Amino acid sequence: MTSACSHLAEVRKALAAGHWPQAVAPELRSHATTCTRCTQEILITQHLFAAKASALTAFQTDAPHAAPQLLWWRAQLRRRNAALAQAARPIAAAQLFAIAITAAAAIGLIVTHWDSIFSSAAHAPASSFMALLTNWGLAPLLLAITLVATLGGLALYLSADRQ
Amino acid sequence: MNWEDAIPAIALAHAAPSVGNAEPAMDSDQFAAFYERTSRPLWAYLARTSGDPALADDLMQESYIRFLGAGFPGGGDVASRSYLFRIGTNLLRDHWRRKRTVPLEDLPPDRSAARDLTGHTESRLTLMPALAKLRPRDRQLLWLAHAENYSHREIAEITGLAAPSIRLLLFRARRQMAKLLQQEGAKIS
Repeated sequence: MTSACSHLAEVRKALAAGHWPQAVAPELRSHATTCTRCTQEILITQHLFAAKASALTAFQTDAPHAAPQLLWWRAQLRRRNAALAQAARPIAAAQLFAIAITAAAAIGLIVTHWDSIFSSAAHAPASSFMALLTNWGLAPLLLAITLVATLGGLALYLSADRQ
Repeated sequence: MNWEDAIPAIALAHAAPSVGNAEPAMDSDQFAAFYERTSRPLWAYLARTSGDPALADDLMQESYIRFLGAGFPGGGDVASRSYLFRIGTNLLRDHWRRKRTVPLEDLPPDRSAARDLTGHTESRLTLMPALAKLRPRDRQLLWLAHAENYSHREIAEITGLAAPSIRLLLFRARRQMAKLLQQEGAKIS
């Protein structure tokens, strides 16, 4: 790495203050023409200063930028949405838990009444709802209600989640 | 009527701070003053290191929103300014990660170039091709060191790079930049 020049701090100071090259000692200027490190410093700083100056001007003349009030409002809105999302997390967890319990109950019901459903279905005549109810008992009715409740709850949960 | 009162949600947010979220970094008046002091240099940094003023607009807005969303960093105006530049740097880096195949030359032309009334057009015509040939990180390092006059420690904080490596990285970037500028015909005045 190039060793730091002893005049570098002085050159930097003059550049930062905008004194280069008019308001610096002639010795320093003549040194800068022969020192690689100082030449680099001057070349880059002058060009980047010029680019910054033109960018600062462009910022004012370009299309209007967002007002600070609008940014403040958007930040507050984002904070609020984040807080709402955080608060909604336990509710979503509770909904999932409820769905899981309902599904488990439905499965349990099917398993415990499987034999009666199967035997009733085997001997059931293809007749009216009353005949089916007489032959199968309340098990299919309970099963249907459970399924409707489960699917309804799931549909509600999914629609609420999308919103 | 205060504009904040027109939005009940915001008034509510002021009355009852949201759970698990940091307090706003500053109130709206303080923020307006901070924006006035920092928006132009931040935009210049983002526009010149990305080469895309429209992108700089977007990233600047996002930087301020994230700044307000984060807790107050402490340390006064200087620390807040560094923190803002850090957010902008990270956003720029994320942008480049997502879209790293687009070179600076392919970006839309700088709208401000046609209206450059500052007398720096010649310098910019030399600088922009040289900047375009540098790596994004080198552009950031050089801008922060030379245009913003940040110290190595501050640059390390802003860029997230290790403080001891800044010196070496800056040395390399500076050497390459000077070489490119001289190739473009730049001379010291």
